[in-house]
Amino acid sequence: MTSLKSDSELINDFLNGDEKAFNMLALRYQEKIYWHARRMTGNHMDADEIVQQVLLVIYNKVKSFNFQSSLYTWIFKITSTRSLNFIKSKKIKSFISFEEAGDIINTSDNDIIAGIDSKDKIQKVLSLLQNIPPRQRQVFVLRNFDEMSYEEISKITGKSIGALKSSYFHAFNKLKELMKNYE
Amino acid sequence: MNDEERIIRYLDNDLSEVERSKFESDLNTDLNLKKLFDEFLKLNNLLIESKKVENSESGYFINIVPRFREGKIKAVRYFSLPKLGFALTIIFVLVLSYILVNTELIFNGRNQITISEISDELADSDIDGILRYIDEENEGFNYDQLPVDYLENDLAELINQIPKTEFNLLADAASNDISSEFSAEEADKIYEELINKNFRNEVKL
Repeated sequence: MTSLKSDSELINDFLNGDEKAFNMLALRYQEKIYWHARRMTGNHMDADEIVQQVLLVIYNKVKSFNFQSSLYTWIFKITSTRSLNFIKSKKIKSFISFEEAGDIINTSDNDIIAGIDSKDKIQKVLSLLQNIPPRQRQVFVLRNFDEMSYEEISKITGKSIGALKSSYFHAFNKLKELMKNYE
Repeated sequence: MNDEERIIRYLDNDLSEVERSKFESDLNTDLNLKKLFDEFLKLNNLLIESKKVENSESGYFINIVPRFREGKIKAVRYFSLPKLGFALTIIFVLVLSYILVNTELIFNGRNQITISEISDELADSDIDGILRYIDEENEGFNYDQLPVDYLENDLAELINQIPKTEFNLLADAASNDISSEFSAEEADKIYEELINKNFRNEVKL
């Protein structure tokens, strides 16, 4: 069930005590949050944890949202930052525990992708993405998958448009080279 | 702009109309450019295909908000742990620094008390030790020349007026108990302070 109310109307309703308004907001953005986190982390379990974290942050912090940017941009800023921090902390944990951090593509039964062909395509892309640096991955995912403008990405990452275009170029180039090795 | 950049910007819809037309024209004439473009296009098509399969399983998404509602309190605790861990780390570092600093002070044999504090805090003394000290350090003073009654009454009374702590210092100085604690200069300074405080105006040779 989707709401016809705008983001600002839902936020005002929620701030006035209507918990269902928050549920509507969550339903509106949960898939985008999930898939951004999935592409950043490479696996379902980590993406699921990030989704829950992001929803909690939105729940607690939306009262301080001042509409200077769109809610969409604000949510993506939280999601993208959480994803980067998650990747960083996971790397540190794997270093301390001497576990291999390389193979993080989770092919467990908890995965939500149905169909072998679909799964194969997504796993291939996720695998390629995990082989570029996290910050380049962030720019590439925001631009290519989340279809954001460079201006919006600049608000999310704090980087200049020139730097973002450079990151995107390097990411795309590297992915193309990696794809040759993958086949 | 090199060929890779042109291709990526073309696929990204980031070329101007003029640049786009030029690029498409070059694709028809430049075989190397075409070959490179095909490599990028293969990747681009895979990326587009992977986007189409995003909503394969809807059951998971239906349960996200209910799970959030159930786990909200648990998630808040998880958020607090890293902050608590950070705070505990800072406290531990501060406590450790304090202990290390004070440990150094405890094991440092150097007397940290100032000279004026020493001269102000002397306990009950050995009169002979004081007189010996005075005799050795003050060439102009010979207590043997003093009248006996002065020694027994006036000087004794005078000595009794000196704060208790000062006598100890003089006695220790005479017996060299604390002489190793101070340099000769410091010992002289202590002596001068004591003498100027109590004796000079009273003892007349």
